[in-house]
Amino acid sequence: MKYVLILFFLVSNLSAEKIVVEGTILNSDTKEKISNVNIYIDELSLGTISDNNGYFKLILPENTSADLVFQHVAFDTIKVSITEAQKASFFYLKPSISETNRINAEATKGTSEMEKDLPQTITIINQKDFAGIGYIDAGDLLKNQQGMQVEENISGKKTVSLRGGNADDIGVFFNGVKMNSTYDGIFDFSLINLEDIEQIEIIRGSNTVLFGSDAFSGIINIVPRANKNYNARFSQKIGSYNSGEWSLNLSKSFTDKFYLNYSIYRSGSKRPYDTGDGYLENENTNHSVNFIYNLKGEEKEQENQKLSIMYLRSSADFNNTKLASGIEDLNQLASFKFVGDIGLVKNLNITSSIQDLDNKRSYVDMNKYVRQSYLNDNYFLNIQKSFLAENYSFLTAYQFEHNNLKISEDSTSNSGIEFGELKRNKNAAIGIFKFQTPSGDDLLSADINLSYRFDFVSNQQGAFNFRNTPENVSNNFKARNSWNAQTLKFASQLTGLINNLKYTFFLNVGKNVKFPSMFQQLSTPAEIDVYNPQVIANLNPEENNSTEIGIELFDEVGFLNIDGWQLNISYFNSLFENKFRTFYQFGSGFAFYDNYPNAKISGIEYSFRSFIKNRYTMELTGSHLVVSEKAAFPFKSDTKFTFKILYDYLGYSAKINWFYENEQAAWIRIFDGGFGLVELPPYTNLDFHFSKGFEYYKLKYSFFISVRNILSDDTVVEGFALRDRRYYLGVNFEY
Amino acid sequence: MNIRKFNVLIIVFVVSLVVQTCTENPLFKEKINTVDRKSINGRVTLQDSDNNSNIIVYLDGLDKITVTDNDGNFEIELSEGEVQSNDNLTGLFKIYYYVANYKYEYSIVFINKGTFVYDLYNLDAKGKINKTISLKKIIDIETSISENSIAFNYKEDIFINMVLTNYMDSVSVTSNMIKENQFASVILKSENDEILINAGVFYSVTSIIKSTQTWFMILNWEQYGDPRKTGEFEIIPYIQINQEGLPDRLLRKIGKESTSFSTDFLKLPIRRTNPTLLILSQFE
Repeated sequence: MKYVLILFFLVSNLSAEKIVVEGTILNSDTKEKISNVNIYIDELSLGTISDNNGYFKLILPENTSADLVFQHVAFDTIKVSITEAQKASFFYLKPSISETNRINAEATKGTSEMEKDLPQTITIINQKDFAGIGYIDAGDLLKNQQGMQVEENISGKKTVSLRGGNADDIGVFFNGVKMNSTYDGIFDFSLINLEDIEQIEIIRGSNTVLFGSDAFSGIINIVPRANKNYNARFSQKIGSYNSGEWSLNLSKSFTDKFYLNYSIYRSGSKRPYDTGDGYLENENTNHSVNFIYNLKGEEKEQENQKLSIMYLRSSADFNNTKLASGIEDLNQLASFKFVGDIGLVKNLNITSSIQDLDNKRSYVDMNKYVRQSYLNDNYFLNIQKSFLAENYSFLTAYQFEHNNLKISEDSTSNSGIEFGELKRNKNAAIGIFKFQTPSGDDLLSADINLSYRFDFVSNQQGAFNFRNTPENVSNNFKARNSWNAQTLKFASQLTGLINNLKYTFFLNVGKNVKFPSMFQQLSTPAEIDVYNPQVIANLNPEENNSTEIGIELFDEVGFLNIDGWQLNISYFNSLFENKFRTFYQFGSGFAFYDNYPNAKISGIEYSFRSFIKNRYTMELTGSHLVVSEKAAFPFKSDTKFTFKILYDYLGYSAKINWFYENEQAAWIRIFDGGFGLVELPPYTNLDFHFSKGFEYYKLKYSFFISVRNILSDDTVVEGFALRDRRYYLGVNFEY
Repeated sequence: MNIRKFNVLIIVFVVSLVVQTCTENPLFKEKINTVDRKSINGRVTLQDSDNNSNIIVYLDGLDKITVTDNDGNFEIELSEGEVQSNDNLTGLFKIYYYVANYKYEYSIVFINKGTFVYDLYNLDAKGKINKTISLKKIIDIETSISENSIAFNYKEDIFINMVLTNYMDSVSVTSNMIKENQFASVILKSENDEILINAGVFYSVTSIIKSTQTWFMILNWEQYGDPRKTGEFEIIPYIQINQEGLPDRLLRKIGKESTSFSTDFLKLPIRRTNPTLLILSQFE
């Protein structure tokens, strides 16, 4: 491998009985220490993980002659022979050329939780791409991603859709805990502050099992920064619309076993109307506490054994003084995670979390005053056990989820819900089987993966009170019901090497099931559509049968000035059955639904990345969709192109992000029946970020300037994505 | 080494003075441009008529009604209370233009979360309906009366004639009829008084007008008149012009009982010339 530089600094002494390999792992470009690198030997089930200071120590039986593998999700994997490794004390890993890693089945030792699931296209956005520059929240960052569409509400709420699906077709996880609202299945990405995030992982497509069967278009997993390379970090940003945000992160490790981290984040902005009769005001406050206890001893198995506890509290308030409306969000999450062995039971992974999500809205609607509150309480438990063997692995899991939703509404209106309570219990059993052809021949390997998931969902209704509601509305609400569903998925991939070109073909086939949300349960069945009599409202689960095929080419050698490149092309086809469509009775709070029997989204996605002279990274992506039912999937662009250039050298960093989205099309209900096509104009966005970092003794500091949406200066509030130009400046300190 | 540490402390101190931890920003003070998207406007004219005032303009779904000015111009504005970022005000809405004896027309506008979206469907980039709407006449109603003035105690028959001329192949009308071509109901309207008269036993009958017809009414003033009322009255025969596809909501918004024989019927915009009858008091 051309870029793998292994420098030998010190010669370590040879142990008589056992072989000791130890050293520090550094980034070959920045010389930063890299934590969480997996160091293992393929043939033996032996390995360890580097600590916060990039240090690792591995004791091997004598006469071990195999290669030592260094693996990290964001870096190129290297192999070093034991003899060479014994001589070295610094190991250099080169940052991965690609952001995308197609995780293969053998990579069960990796850092991403997603690797335990079926293999699929994962895009990993590392914090290097977003920390310390002018992105205020995760929504800002995801706008620039392939095939993703971000809608920004006037309140600052940002919802994300992927591959033509809706915002509730994406499963959002924070540190492995599901964050989607129990009420409507949607997550607001403006609640995620990027300064405290290690990486964002995006699974495209719906081939997940462990992450639930209801993520029809993909999964976004947000991984908070746990192990940090500093004691204290402070950042301050100021920007458009009188906005400012600061964050402070403190972290401390004790005796390498305990690790404690606290961070606080506050932001605010005030956007006055040009008419001078009011303003929009946003305020966010986040606190998070992480505690990690590493159980691993020196000679433990390769699986990292640890116990971690996390607490997160974030509040977001929005006020529109002109319209006397406001939104208050409060999200509290406590999670407990254990990875390791209990007695003789090995390879356990237990996650448990309690979440409290409160959403309060107040507004004046059609001259009626309304104040609604949605209080969610969730409890989640996940127990996983893996069985590993030479050519196959089996993972089994049990998941339990309890959701409780309390709704109340104060209103001068004489209809609607006054208060109500819904409870939902969800049980799931999961099995994942992975088989890999014996890897005797390096040129070609194939693997076959199968997964099975069984879900059982039961609903219960607590006290409910409707205000003077037409009988058909209150009677149609199903108080007590249950659903169950089985899903089976298959994934296979073929990997090989021709000269320096690594190729992978893959095929994924599977079925997903989504159970009606509590919001849908509370909605009223729509009358039969005279134009589409086959569309009948029902409360049965939605189904999605999807197929995806693709190819990935990866060349580490390149040509001309290009040092390496990667090309991904995939085609997918999703068939939706019983797809929910939501409508609102005009001018009233009542939502109606019906179920479209069969809708289809198919599309092609491609991306090309290259790495030039160790300083430039270039990425070009495209996605094209065909959406058959534009009432079920409204306002989706069917074509999106993105282009990224990143320059990173000697502390200077410049990024240019460009994207184009074509017309957003929707079939909108006409007041007195039928649908009409509405197309919103295409949109081109260009962002520019520049930062420079300095180092002074143990203090690192940097400043940045960002201009977002350079091309458009349209600040018109249309209720659609706000497409206005924004400027940000800021500084970061690390000690 | 100590000097270095000291330097670091100095830097941290200075920087934290310069950049106070703030959630406000003194530099960028942009404003949100609200370009009044609460309102739209347009123009409606009547075919073969110079008077374009008082044409009904109705935003269906939001149940908003307005009338045109003398030039036929109108404006519809959503109130602050309706301008909300709520999904329940998202949809395609029809704006109806209506005069009873002209064929109604409609435009389509898109409202997203309580705001009009310009430059889509029938709205141009400035929020104006993209063409002048011209309503075509469907029927002409010409009324005449046998007497111009009567004494309050008049005891004879008054004859009222109504000539219906269709401008389209067939026009559906509904009226209270005593027998073929004889109608029963008329409203006498003065500045501050309305007299509703049914002259005999009648049935509500819907007729299709395919050629010019003359209807009549025999009003025996002694039997059906009101001897207490005097002054100058407009003679308005009761006749409904039925237009297929026109929402009842619109007619009800004009007047709750505008589709039946009632004073609300007078609120329906209709272009016709009505004769007058002067009822003299005993002293004149």
